[in-house]
Amino acid sequence: MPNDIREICITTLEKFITDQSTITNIKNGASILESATIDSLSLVNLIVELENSLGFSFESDDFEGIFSSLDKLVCYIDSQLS
Amino acid sequence: MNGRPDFNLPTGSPRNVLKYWSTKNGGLVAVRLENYQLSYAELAEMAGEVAGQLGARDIGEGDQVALVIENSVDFIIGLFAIFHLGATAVTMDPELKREQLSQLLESGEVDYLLVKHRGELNTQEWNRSIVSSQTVSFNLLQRQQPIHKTVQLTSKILLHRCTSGSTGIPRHVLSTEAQIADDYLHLLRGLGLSTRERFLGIAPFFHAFGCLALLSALASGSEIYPVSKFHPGRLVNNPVFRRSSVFFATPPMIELLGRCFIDERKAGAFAEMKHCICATARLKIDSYEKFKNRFGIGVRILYGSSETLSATITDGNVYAEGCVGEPLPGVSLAIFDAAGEMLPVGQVGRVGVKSPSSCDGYSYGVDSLSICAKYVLPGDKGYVDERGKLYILGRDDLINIGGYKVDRIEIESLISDRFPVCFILIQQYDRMGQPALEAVIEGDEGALDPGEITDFCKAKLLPYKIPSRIRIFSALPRDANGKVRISDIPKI
Repeated sequence: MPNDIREICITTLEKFITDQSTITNIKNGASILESATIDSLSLVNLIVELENSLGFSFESDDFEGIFSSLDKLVCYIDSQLS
Repeated sequence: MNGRPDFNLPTGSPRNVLKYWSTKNGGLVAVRLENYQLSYAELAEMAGEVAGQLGARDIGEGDQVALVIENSVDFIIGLFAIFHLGATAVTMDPELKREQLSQLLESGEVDYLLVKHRGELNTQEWNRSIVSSQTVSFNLLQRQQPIHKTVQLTSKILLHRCTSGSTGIPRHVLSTEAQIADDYLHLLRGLGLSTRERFLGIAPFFHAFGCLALLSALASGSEIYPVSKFHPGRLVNNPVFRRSSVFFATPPMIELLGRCFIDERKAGAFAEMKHCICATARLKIDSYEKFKNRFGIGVRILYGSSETLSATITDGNVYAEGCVGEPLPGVSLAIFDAAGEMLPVGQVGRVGVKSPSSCDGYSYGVDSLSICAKYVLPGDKGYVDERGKLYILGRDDLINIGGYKVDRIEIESLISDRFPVCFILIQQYDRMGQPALEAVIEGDEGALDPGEITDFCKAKLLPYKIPSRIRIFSALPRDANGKVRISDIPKI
Protein backbone atom coordinates (compact mmCIF):
# COMPACT_ATOMS: atom_id res chain seq x y z
CA MET A 1 0.00 0.00 0.00
CA PRO A 2 2.69 2.61 0.86
CA ASN A 3 4.26 1.98 -2.53
CA ASP A 4 0.95 2.74 -4.24
CA ILE A 5 0.60 5.87 -2.15
CA ARG A 6 4.14 6.86 -3.01
CA GLU A 7 3.43 6.51 -6.74
CA ILE A 8 0.25 8.57 -6.47
CA CYS A 9 2.11 11.24 -4.51
CA ILE A 10 4.82 11.45 -7.14
CA THR A 11 2.30 11.57 -9.98
CA THR A 12 0.42 14.35 -8.17
CA LEU A 13 3.60 16.26 -7.41
CA GLU A 14 4.54 16.10 -11.07
CA LYS A 15 1.41 18.09 -11.89
CA PHE A 16 2.71 20.94 -9.76
CA ILE A 17 6.43 20.63 -10.33
CA THR A 18 7.56 20.44 -13.92
CA ASP A 19 11.27 20.50 -13.15
CA GLN A 20 12.37 16.83 -13.22
CA SER A 21 15.52 17.47 -11.21
CA THR A 22 13.37 18.78 -8.36
CA ILE A 23 11.22 15.66 -8.52
CA THR A 24 14.38 13.55 -8.41
CA ASN A 25 15.60 15.47 -5.36
CA ILE A 26 12.27 14.91 -3.63
CA LYS A 27 12.41 11.21 -4.42
CA ASN A 28 15.86 11.20 -2.84
CA GLY A 29 14.60 12.73 0.39
CA ALA A 30 14.60 16.49 -0.16
CA SER A 31 11.89 18.57 1.47
CA ILE A 32 8.86 19.04 -0.78
CA LEU A 33 8.22 22.55 0.47
CA GLU A 34 11.83 23.65 0.26
CA SER A 35 12.64 21.92 -3.00
CA ALA A 36 9.76 23.15 -5.03
CA THR A 37 8.33 26.47 -5.96
CA ILE A 38 5.18 25.72 -4.03
CA ASP A 39 3.51 28.75 -2.52
CA SER A 40 0.72 28.55 0.02
CA LEU A 41 -2.03 28.40 -2.60
CA SER A 42 -0.39 25.68 -4.67
CA LEU A 43 0.20 23.72 -1.49
CA VAL A 44 -3.55 23.79 -0.81
CA ASN A 45 -4.18 22.72 -4.40
CA LEU A 46 -1.71 19.88 -3.96
CA ILE A 47 -3.43 18.78 -0.76
CA VAL A 48 -6.86 18.82 -2.42
CA GLU A 49 -5.49 16.82 -5.33
CA LEU A 50 -4.01 14.20 -2.99
CA GLU A 51 -7.22 14.01 -0.95
CA ASN A 52 -9.32 13.49 -4.07
CA SER A 53 -6.90 10.94 -5.53
CA LEU A 54 -6.70 8.86 -2.37
CA GLY A 55 -10.09 9.56 -0.76
CA PHE A 56 -9.07 10.94 2.59
CA SER A 57 -8.81 14.26 4.43
CA PHE A 58 -5.76 15.84 5.96
CA GLU A 59 -6.64 16.14 9.64
CA SER A 60 -3.47 17.92 10.66
CA ASP A 61 -2.40 21.52 10.12
CA ASP A 62 1.27 20.59 10.44
CA PHE A 63 1.94 20.90 6.73
CA GLU A 64 5.56 21.88 7.31
CA GLY A 65 6.16 18.57 9.05
CA ILE A 66 4.12 16.39 6.71
CA PHE A 67 5.63 17.86 3.55
CA SER A 68 9.17 17.91 4.88
CA SER A 69 9.87 14.75 2.87
CA LEU A 70 8.15 12.31 0.55
CA ASP A 71 8.58 9.53 3.11
CA LYS A 72 6.81 11.57 5.78
CA LEU A 73 4.02 12.45 3.40
CA VAL A 74 3.51 8.80 2.44
CA CYS A 75 3.67 7.75 6.07
CA TYR A 76 1.07 10.34 7.08
CA ILE A 77 -1.33 9.39 4.28
CA ASP A 78 -0.91 5.71 5.07
CA SER A 79 -1.80 6.37 8.70
CA GLN A 80 -4.89 8.29 7.65
CA LEU A 81 -6.06 5.56 5.31
CA SER A 82 -5.51 2.64 7.65
CA MET B 1 -30.34 46.32 -0.25
CA ASN B 2 -33.27 46.87 2.04
CA GLY B 3 -32.38 44.36 4.72
CA ARG B 4 -32.51 45.53 8.28
CA PRO B 5 -30.80 43.97 11.24
CA ASP B 6 -33.10 43.10 14.10
CA PHE B 7 -30.94 44.76 16.73
CA ASN B 8 -29.24 48.05 17.48
CA LEU B 9 -25.77 48.26 16.02
CA PRO B 10 -23.06 50.11 17.91
CA THR B 11 -22.84 53.18 15.72
CA GLY B 12 -19.95 54.79 17.59
CA SER B 13 -16.26 54.24 17.06
CA PRO B 14 -15.06 50.75 16.16
CA ARG B 15 -12.66 51.19 19.08
CA ASN B 16 -15.57 50.58 21.42
CA VAL B 17 -17.36 47.56 19.99
CA LEU B 18 -15.97 45.10 22.56
CA LYS B 19 -16.98 47.41 25.39
CA TYR B 20 -20.41 47.92 23.82
CA TRP B 21 -21.24 44.21 23.77
CA SER B 22 -19.51 43.56 27.09
CA THR B 23 -21.84 46.08 28.69
CA LYS B 24 -24.91 44.62 27.00
CA ASN B 25 -24.05 41.01 27.70
CA GLY B 26 -20.67 40.25 29.21
CA GLY B 27 -20.99 36.52 28.62
CA LEU B 28 -21.69 36.82 24.92
CA VAL B 29 -19.21 34.67 22.99
CA ALA B 30 -16.96 36.69 20.69
CA VAL B 31 -14.34 34.19 19.56
CA ARG B 32 -14.71 30.45 19.32
CA LEU B 33 -12.13 27.85 18.44
CA GLU B 34 -12.09 24.08 18.68
CA ASN B 35 -10.88 23.97 22.24
CA TYR B 36 -11.97 27.19 23.84
CA GLN B 37 -14.00 30.34 23.55
CA LEU B 38 -13.70 33.92 24.69
CA SER B 39 -16.55 36.23 25.60
CA TYR B 40 -16.69 39.89 24.64
CA ALA B 41 -15.91 40.76 28.26
CA GLU B 42 -12.88 38.48 28.35
CA LEU B 43 -11.62 39.77 25.04
CA ALA B 44 -12.04 43.37 26.18
CA GLU B 45 -10.19 42.61 29.40
CA MET B 46 -7.26 41.00 27.57
CA ALA B 47 -7.05 43.83 25.07
CA GLY B 48 -7.13 46.25 27.99
CA GLU B 49 -4.23 44.44 29.69
CA VAL B 50 -2.10 44.58 26.55
CA ALA B 51 -3.09 48.21 26.03
CA GLY B 52 -1.98 48.98 29.59
CA GLN B 53 1.47 47.57 28.88
CA LEU B 54 1.73 49.41 25.57
CA GLY B 55 0.57 52.61 27.26
CA ALA B 56 3.25 52.18 29.90
CA ARG B 57 5.75 52.48 27.04
CA ASP B 58 4.20 55.82 26.08
CA ILE B 59 2.31 54.50 23.09
CA GLY B 60 -0.91 56.40 22.55
CA GLU B 61 -2.82 58.76 20.30
CA GLY B 62 -0.81 59.81 17.28
CA ASP B 63 1.34 56.67 17.32
CA GLN B 64 1.17 53.90 14.78
CA VAL B 65 1.59 50.28 15.79
CA ALA B 66 2.02 47.70 13.06
CA LEU B 67 0.30 44.40 13.61
CA VAL B 68 2.03 41.64 11.62
CA ILE B 69 0.14 38.57 12.77
CA GLU B 70 -1.89 35.93 10.95
CA ASN B 71 -5.61 35.45 11.67
CA SER B 72 -5.83 34.46 15.32
CA VAL B 73 -7.09 35.48 18.73
CA ASP B 74 -3.75 37.24 19.13
CA PHE B 75 -4.50 39.45 16.14
CA ILE B 76 -7.86 40.44 17.62
CA ILE B 77 -6.42 41.21 21.05
CA GLY B 78 -3.52 43.16 19.53
CA LEU B 79 -5.85 45.14 17.29
CA PHE B 80 -8.19 46.14 20.07
CA ALA B 81 -5.29 46.94 22.38
CA ILE B 82 -4.11 49.46 19.78
CA PHE B 83 -7.67 50.74 19.38
CA HIS B 84 -7.97 51.06 23.14
CA LEU B 85 -5.01 53.44 23.24
CA GLY B 86 -6.37 55.75 20.55
CA ALA B 87 -3.40 54.80 18.38
CA THR B 88 -3.50 53.80 14.71
CA ALA B 89 -3.23 50.11 13.81
CA VAL B 90 -1.14 49.33 10.74
CA THR B 91 -2.28 45.89 9.61
CA MET B 92 0.33 44.16 7.48
CA ASP B 93 0.73 40.88 5.66
CA PRO B 94 2.63 38.43 7.89
CA GLU B 95 4.02 36.78 4.76
CA LEU B 96 5.92 39.92 3.73
CA LYS B 97 9.61 39.38 3.35
CA ARG B 98 11.78 41.15 5.87
CA GLU B 99 13.02 43.68 3.31
CA GLN B 100 9.49 44.52 2.12
CA LEU B 101 8.27 44.86 5.68
CA SER B 102 11.13 47.13 6.57
CA GLN B 103 10.47 49.37 3.55
CA LEU B 104 6.77 49.67 4.29
CA LEU B 105 7.40 50.50 7.93
CA GLU B 106 9.85 53.17 6.92
CA SER B 107 7.74 54.71 4.15
CA GLY B 108 4.70 54.57 6.43
CA GLU B 109 6.59 56.22 9.32
CA VAL B 110 5.85 53.39 11.72
CA ASP B 111 7.91 53.13 14.92
CA TYR B 112 6.21 50.21 16.70
CA LEU B 113 5.53 46.65 15.71
CA LEU B 114 3.58 43.88 17.43
CA VAL B 115 4.65 40.42 16.26
CA LYS B 116 4.62 36.87 17.52
CA HIS B 117 8.22 36.10 16.61
CA ARG B 118 11.32 38.18 16.98
CA GLY B 119 12.87 37.47 13.60
CA GLU B 120 10.77 39.87 11.53
CA LEU B 121 13.25 42.74 11.55
CA ASN B 122 16.85 43.62 12.07
CA THR B 123 16.99 43.80 15.85
CA GLN B 124 19.96 46.14 15.77
CA GLU B 125 17.59 48.89 14.71
CA TRP B 126 14.73 47.84 16.94
CA ASN B 127 14.41 47.35 20.67
CA ARG B 128 12.42 44.33 21.75
CA SER B 129 10.24 43.78 24.78
CA ILE B 130 7.43 41.43 25.71
CA VAL B 131 3.83 42.42 26.27
CA SER B 132 1.29 39.86 27.34
CA SER B 133 -2.11 39.17 28.80
CA GLN B 134 -3.49 36.03 30.47
CA THR B 135 -3.35 33.95 27.31
CA VAL B 136 -1.34 35.82 24.70
CA SER B 137 2.15 37.16 24.43
CA PHE B 138 3.62 39.52 21.85
CA ASN B 139 7.00 40.83 20.93
CA LEU B 140 6.89 44.60 20.83
CA LEU B 141 9.57 46.03 18.57
CA GLN B 142 10.29 49.71 18.94
CA ARG B 143 12.46 51.62 16.51
CA GLN B 144 15.59 52.86 18.25
CA GLN B 145 15.65 56.06 16.22
CA PRO B 146 12.06 57.25 15.66
CA ILE B 147 11.28 58.34 12.12
CA HIS B 148 10.55 62.01 11.50
CA LYS B 149 6.80 62.30 11.03
CA THR B 150 5.45 64.14 8.01
CA VAL B 151 1.85 63.24 8.88
CA GLN B 152 0.41 64.05 12.29
CA LEU B 153 -2.21 61.51 13.26
CA THR B 154 -5.06 61.81 15.72
CA SER B 155 -7.23 59.20 17.38
CA LYS B 156 -9.70 59.65 14.51
CA ILE B 157 -7.32 57.67 12.29
CA LEU B 158 -8.10 54.08 13.11
CA LEU B 159 -6.35 51.99 10.48
CA HIS B 160 -3.43 52.30 8.12
CA ARG B 161 -3.17 49.79 5.30
CA CYS B 162 -0.57 49.32 2.63
CA THR B 163 -1.75 48.46 -0.84
CA SER B 164 0.27 47.90 -3.95
CA GLY B 165 -2.77 48.80 -6.02
CA SER B 166 -2.40 48.52 -9.76
CA THR B 167 1.07 49.96 -9.91
CA GLY B 168 3.00 47.52 -7.78
CA ILE B 169 4.28 50.51 -5.81
CA PRO B 170 3.16 50.60 -2.16
CA ARG B 171 0.48 53.09 -1.31
CA HIS B 172 -0.61 53.97 2.17
CA VAL B 173 -4.29 54.35 2.91
CA LEU B 174 -5.41 55.87 6.20
CA SER B 175 -8.97 55.17 7.30
CA THR B 176 -10.86 57.07 9.95
CA GLU B 177 -13.05 55.58 12.62
CA ALA B 178 -16.11 56.86 10.76
CA GLN B 179 -15.03 55.35 7.43
CA ILE B 180 -14.38 51.94 8.97
CA ALA B 181 -17.62 52.03 10.96
CA ASP B 182 -19.56 52.94 7.86
CA ASP B 183 -17.92 50.06 5.99
CA TYR B 184 -19.30 47.41 8.33
CA LEU B 185 -22.52 49.23 9.14
CA HIS B 186 -23.63 49.50 5.53
CA LEU B 187 -22.69 45.87 4.92
CA LEU B 188 -24.56 44.62 7.99
CA ARG B 189 -27.57 46.70 7.05
CA GLY B 190 -27.34 45.59 3.42
CA LEU B 191 -27.25 41.94 4.43
CA GLY B 192 -29.84 42.33 7.16
CA LEU B 193 -27.72 40.28 9.51
CA SER B 194 -28.94 39.50 12.96
CA THR B 195 -26.84 39.34 16.09
CA ARG B 196 -25.31 36.00 17.15
CA GLU B 197 -24.15 35.06 13.67
CA ARG B 198 -21.13 32.78 13.33
CA PHE B 199 -18.47 34.28 11.08
CA LEU B 200 -15.78 32.15 9.55
CA GLY B 201 -12.75 34.40 9.81
CA ILE B 202 -10.46 33.07 7.14
CA ALA B 203 -10.00 36.01 4.78
CA PRO B 204 -6.78 37.67 6.00
CA PHE B 205 -7.56 40.18 8.73
CA PHE B 206 -4.75 42.50 7.64
CA HIS B 207 -6.56 43.05 4.33
CA ALA B 208 -9.56 45.39 4.03
CA PHE B 209 -11.88 42.50 3.13
CA GLY B 210 -10.82 40.26 6.01
CA CYS B 211 -10.87 43.18 8.41
CA LEU B 212 -14.42 43.90 7.27
CA ALA B 213 -15.35 40.34 8.22
CA LEU B 214 -13.72 40.67 11.63
CA LEU B 215 -15.23 44.03 12.49
CA SER B 216 -18.66 43.10 11.07
CA ALA B 217 -18.67 40.07 13.33
CA LEU B 218 -17.67 41.96 16.45
CA ALA B 219 -19.81 45.01 15.72
CA SER B 220 -22.86 42.81 15.34
CA GLY B 221 -22.29 40.92 18.58
CA SER B 222 -21.60 37.74 16.64
CA GLU B 223 -19.02 35.01 17.04
CA ILE B 224 -15.95 34.80 14.86
CA TYR B 225 -13.84 31.72 14.23
CA PRO B 226 -10.36 32.94 13.32
CA VAL B 227 -8.59 30.59 10.92
CA SER B 228 -4.96 31.19 9.99
CA LYS B 229 -4.48 28.68 7.20
CA PHE B 230 -6.96 27.82 4.52
CA HIS B 231 -7.44 24.12 4.05
CA PRO B 232 -10.83 23.18 2.59
CA GLY B 233 -10.97 19.72 4.15
CA ARG B 234 -10.39 21.14 7.61
CA LEU B 235 -13.15 23.70 7.13
CA VAL B 236 -15.80 21.24 6.09
CA ASN B 237 -14.83 18.63 8.68
CA ASN B 238 -14.21 20.86 11.69
CA PRO B 239 -17.26 20.78 13.98
CA VAL B 240 -16.95 24.50 14.74
CA PHE B 241 -16.16 25.84 11.30
CA ARG B 242 -18.79 23.77 9.49
CA ARG B 243 -21.48 25.52 11.55
CA SER B 244 -20.56 28.96 10.22
CA SER B 245 -23.40 31.16 9.08
CA VAL B 246 -21.35 33.90 7.41
CA PHE B 247 -18.27 33.23 5.32
CA PHE B 248 -16.02 35.85 3.74
CA ALA B 249 -14.05 34.04 1.06
CA THR B 250 -11.71 34.66 -1.82
CA PRO B 251 -12.25 33.06 -5.27
CA PRO B 252 -9.60 30.34 -4.76
CA MET B 253 -11.33 29.33 -1.52
CA ILE B 254 -14.67 28.98 -3.30
CA GLU B 255 -13.06 27.05 -6.14
CA LEU B 256 -11.25 24.63 -3.82
CA LEU B 257 -14.23 24.09 -1.53
CA GLY B 258 -16.28 23.20 -4.59
CA ARG B 259 -13.97 20.35 -5.56
CA CYS B 260 -12.25 19.18 -2.37
CA PHE B 261 -12.71 15.69 -0.99
CA ILE B 262 -15.58 15.40 1.47
CA ASP B 263 -16.09 12.21 3.38
CA GLU B 264 -19.73 11.15 2.94
CA ARG B 265 -19.91 10.48 6.67
CA LYS B 266 -19.22 14.15 7.24
CA ALA B 267 -21.76 15.61 4.86
CA GLY B 268 -23.80 18.61 5.91
CA ALA B 269 -21.05 21.19 6.20
CA PHE B 270 -22.20 24.81 5.95
CA ALA B 271 -25.82 23.71 6.23
CA GLU B 272 -26.49 26.76 8.42
CA MET B 273 -24.71 29.22 6.16
CA LYS B 274 -26.73 32.32 5.30
CA HIS B 275 -24.17 34.37 3.43
CA CYS B 276 -21.05 33.40 1.56
CA ILE B 277 -19.40 36.61 0.42
CA CYS B 278 -16.58 36.56 -2.09
CA ALA B 279 -14.27 39.41 -3.02
CA THR B 280 -10.76 40.45 -4.09
CA ALA B 281 -10.87 38.99 -7.60
CA ARG B 282 -13.19 37.61 -10.24
CA LEU B 283 -15.07 34.43 -9.38
CA LYS B 284 -15.47 32.00 -12.25
CA ILE B 285 -18.92 30.63 -13.04
CA ASP B 286 -17.65 27.08 -12.72
CA SER B 287 -16.48 27.77 -9.15
CA TYR B 288 -19.76 29.50 -8.31
CA GLU B 289 -21.84 26.58 -9.58
CA LYS B 290 -19.81 23.82 -7.97
CA PHE B 291 -19.94 25.58 -4.60
CA LYS B 292 -23.68 26.19 -4.93
CA ASN B 293 -24.39 22.62 -5.99
CA ARG B 294 -22.33 21.22 -3.15
CA PHE B 295 -23.38 23.48 -0.27
CA GLY B 296 -26.72 24.78 -1.50
CA ILE B 297 -25.85 28.44 -1.19
CA GLY B 298 -25.12 31.00 -3.87
CA VAL B 299 -21.96 33.03 -3.44
CA ARG B 300 -22.52 36.77 -3.08
CA ILE B 301 -19.91 38.85 -4.85
CA LEU B 302 -18.70 41.93 -3.04
CA TYR B 303 -16.97 44.71 -4.94
CA GLY B 304 -14.72 47.25 -3.34
CA SER B 305 -11.14 48.38 -3.04
CA SER B 306 -8.67 49.50 -0.41
CA GLU B 307 -9.57 53.08 -1.32
CA THR B 308 -13.38 52.80 -1.32
CA LEU B 309 -13.83 49.80 0.98
CA SER B 310 -16.97 47.75 0.32
CA ALA B 311 -19.22 49.23 -2.34
CA THR B 312 -21.58 46.76 -3.99
CA ILE B 313 -22.84 43.22 -3.47
CA THR B 314 -24.84 40.67 -5.43
CA ASP B 315 -27.76 38.72 -4.00
CA GLY B 316 -26.04 35.42 -4.79
CA ASN B 317 -29.07 33.86 -6.46
CA VAL B 318 -27.85 34.09 -10.03
CA TYR B 319 -24.40 34.38 -11.49
CA ALA B 320 -23.96 36.92 -14.24
CA GLU B 321 -20.52 37.38 -15.78
CA GLY B 322 -18.92 40.54 -14.42
CA CYS B 323 -21.90 41.51 -12.28
CA VAL B 324 -20.95 42.75 -8.81
CA GLY B 325 -24.44 43.74 -7.79
CA GLU B 326 -26.06 46.82 -6.36
CA PRO B 327 -24.57 49.52 -4.17
CA LEU B 328 -24.64 48.96 -0.44
CA PRO B 329 -26.74 51.45 1.55
CA GLY B 330 -25.20 54.92 1.38
CA VAL B 331 -23.03 54.11 -1.65
CA SER B 332 -23.49 55.72 -5.08
CA LEU B 333 -22.03 54.64 -8.39
CA ALA B 334 -21.25 56.56 -11.54
CA ILE B 335 -19.45 55.77 -14.75
CA PHE B 336 -17.11 58.32 -16.29
CA ASP B 337 -15.44 58.72 -19.64
CA ALA B 338 -11.79 59.66 -20.10
CA ALA B 339 -12.68 63.34 -19.97
CA GLY B 340 -14.41 62.96 -16.62
CA GLU B 341 -17.93 63.24 -17.98
CA MET B 342 -20.57 61.09 -16.32
CA LEU B 343 -21.92 58.46 -18.72
CA PRO B 344 -25.52 57.26 -18.99
CA VAL B 345 -26.81 53.81 -18.04
CA GLY B 346 -25.36 51.01 -20.09
CA GLN B 347 -22.29 52.85 -21.36
CA VAL B 348 -18.87 51.49 -20.53
CA GLY B 349 -16.37 53.70 -18.77
CA ARG B 350 -14.44 54.17 -15.57
CA VAL B 351 -16.21 53.05 -12.46
CA GLY B 352 -16.66 55.72 -9.79
CA VAL B 353 -17.70 55.03 -6.20
CA LYS B 354 -18.99 57.65 -3.79
CA SER B 355 -19.16 56.30 -0.27
CA PRO B 356 -18.72 57.59 3.26
CA SER B 357 -16.16 54.80 3.59
CA SER B 358 -13.90 56.09 0.81
CA CYS B 359 -10.56 57.57 1.74
CA ASP B 360 -9.62 61.08 0.68
CA GLY B 361 -6.25 60.23 -0.80
CA TYR B 362 -3.02 58.37 -0.28
CA SER B 363 -0.62 59.26 2.50
CA TYR B 364 3.14 59.06 2.79
CA GLY B 365 3.86 59.15 -0.93
CA VAL B 366 3.64 60.94 -4.22
CA ASP B 367 0.81 58.92 -5.72
CA SER B 368 -2.51 60.72 -5.98
CA LEU B 369 -5.93 59.14 -5.74
CA SER B 370 -8.12 59.37 -8.83
CA ILE B 371 -11.28 61.28 -7.95
CA CYS B 372 -13.92 62.58 -10.33
CA ALA B 373 -16.87 64.70 -9.14
CA LYS B 374 -16.32 63.33 -5.60
CA TYR B 375 -16.39 59.75 -6.90
CA VAL B 376 -13.29 57.70 -6.21
CA LEU B 377 -12.10 55.81 -9.30
CA PRO B 378 -10.62 52.49 -8.21
CA GLY B 379 -9.33 51.93 -11.76
CA ASP B 380 -11.93 49.54 -13.08
CA LYS B 381 -13.80 49.59 -16.36
CA GLY B 382 -17.49 48.79 -16.30
CA TYR B 383 -21.06 49.91 -16.63
CA VAL B 384 -24.29 50.14 -14.66
CA ASP B 385 -27.38 48.50 -16.11
CA GLU B 386 -30.94 49.82 -16.02
CA ARG B 387 -31.59 48.00 -12.71
CA GLY B 388 -28.63 49.73 -11.07
CA LYS B 389 -26.36 46.70 -11.06
CA LEU B 390 -22.68 47.26 -11.65
CA TYR B 391 -20.72 45.16 -14.13
CA ILE B 392 -16.94 45.11 -14.03
CA LEU B 393 -15.26 44.40 -17.35
CA GLY B 394 -11.68 44.64 -16.15
CA ARG B 395 -9.04 47.25 -15.51
CA ASP B 396 -8.59 49.83 -18.17
CA ASP B 397 -5.93 51.92 -16.60
CA LEU B 398 -2.86 49.75 -16.76
CA ILE B 399 0.02 50.23 -19.13
CA ASN B 400 3.03 47.99 -18.85
CA ILE B 401 6.21 49.98 -19.32
CA GLY B 402 9.30 47.86 -19.09
CA GLY B 403 7.71 45.62 -16.47
CA TYR B 404 6.23 48.47 -14.48
CA LYS B 405 2.47 48.73 -14.43
CA VAL B 406 1.44 52.33 -14.91
CA ASP B 407 -1.94 53.62 -13.77
CA ARG B 408 -2.94 55.91 -16.60
CA ILE B 409 -5.83 57.41 -14.64
CA GLU B 410 -3.45 58.60 -11.97
CA ILE B 411 -1.36 60.52 -14.50
CA GLU B 412 -4.36 61.87 -16.38
CA SER B 413 -5.99 63.10 -13.18
CA LEU B 414 -2.80 64.69 -11.95
CA ILE B 415 -2.29 66.69 -15.15
CA SER B 416 -5.93 67.63 -15.68
CA ASP B 417 -6.24 68.80 -12.08
CA ARG B 418 -3.30 71.17 -12.54
CA PHE B 419 -3.60 72.38 -16.15
CA PRO B 420 -6.55 73.68 -18.22
CA VAL B 421 -7.00 70.62 -20.42
CA CYS B 422 -10.23 69.71 -22.21
CA PHE B 423 -9.20 66.12 -22.77
CA ILE B 424 -6.18 64.04 -21.85
CA LEU B 425 -5.13 60.55 -22.78
CA ILE B 426 -2.06 58.74 -21.49
CA GLN B 427 -1.06 56.03 -23.91
CA GLN B 428 1.86 53.90 -24.92
CA TYR B 429 4.00 54.55 -27.98
CA ASP B 430 7.06 52.99 -29.47
CA ARG B 431 10.27 54.88 -28.82
CA MET B 432 13.17 53.31 -30.70
CA GLY B 433 11.75 49.85 -30.16
CA GLN B 434 10.97 50.40 -26.48
CA PRO B 435 7.56 51.12 -24.92
CA ALA B 436 7.17 54.66 -23.58
CA LEU B 437 4.39 56.92 -22.37
CA GLU B 438 2.90 59.87 -24.15
CA ALA B 439 0.28 62.38 -23.09
CA VAL B 440 -2.19 63.48 -25.76
CA ILE B 441 -3.86 66.67 -24.62
CA GLU B 442 -6.62 68.77 -26.07
CA GLY B 443 -6.61 72.38 -24.92
CA ASP B 444 -5.46 75.91 -25.64
CA GLU B 445 -2.08 75.43 -27.24
CA GLY B 446 -1.02 78.90 -26.12
CA ALA B 447 -1.81 78.15 -22.46
CA LEU B 448 -0.20 74.73 -22.29
CA ASP B 449 3.56 74.33 -22.22
CA PRO B 450 4.84 70.74 -22.66
CA GLY B 451 8.01 71.60 -20.73
CA GLU B 452 6.02 72.91 -17.78
CA ILE B 453 3.81 69.82 -17.76
CA THR B 454 6.88 67.58 -17.84
CA ASP B 455 8.49 69.47 -14.95
CA PHE B 456 5.27 69.17 -12.96
CA CYS B 457 5.14 65.42 -13.60
CA LYS B 458 8.77 65.06 -12.56
CA ALA B 459 7.94 66.69 -9.24
CA LYS B 460 4.89 64.54 -8.59
CA LEU B 461 5.44 61.16 -10.19
CA LEU B 462 7.84 58.29 -10.01
CA PRO B 463 10.28 58.35 -12.96
CA TYR B 464 8.69 55.55 -14.97
CA LYS B 465 5.31 57.30 -14.86
CA ILE B 466 6.50 60.54 -16.45
CA PRO B 467 5.33 60.88 -20.07
CA SER B 468 8.36 61.12 -22.32
CA ARG B 469 6.33 62.81 -25.05
CA ILE B 470 3.56 65.36 -24.77
CA ARG B 471 1.42 66.36 -27.74
CA ILE B 472 -1.04 69.20 -27.51
CA PHE B 473 -3.93 69.72 -29.93
CA SER B 474 -6.39 72.57 -30.08
CA ALA B 475 -9.05 70.10 -31.26
CA LEU B 476 -9.18 66.34 -31.47
CA PRO B 477 -11.45 64.32 -33.77
CA ARG B 478 -14.81 63.65 -32.12
CA ASP B 479 -17.88 61.62 -32.95
CA ALA B 480 -21.47 62.82 -33.21
CA ASN B 481 -21.88 62.63 -29.43
CA GLY B 482 -18.83 64.79 -28.91
CA LYS B 483 -16.60 61.98 -27.71
CA VAL B 484 -12.99 61.91 -28.80
CA ARG B 485 -12.29 59.25 -31.43
CA ILE B 486 -9.11 57.88 -29.96
CA SER B 487 -8.41 55.70 -32.98
CA ASP B 488 -8.38 58.84 -35.14
CA ILE B 489 -5.86 60.78 -33.06
CA PRO B 490 -3.06 61.73 -35.47
CA LYS B 491 -0.07 59.40 -35.35
CA ILE B 492 3.52 60.55 -35.62
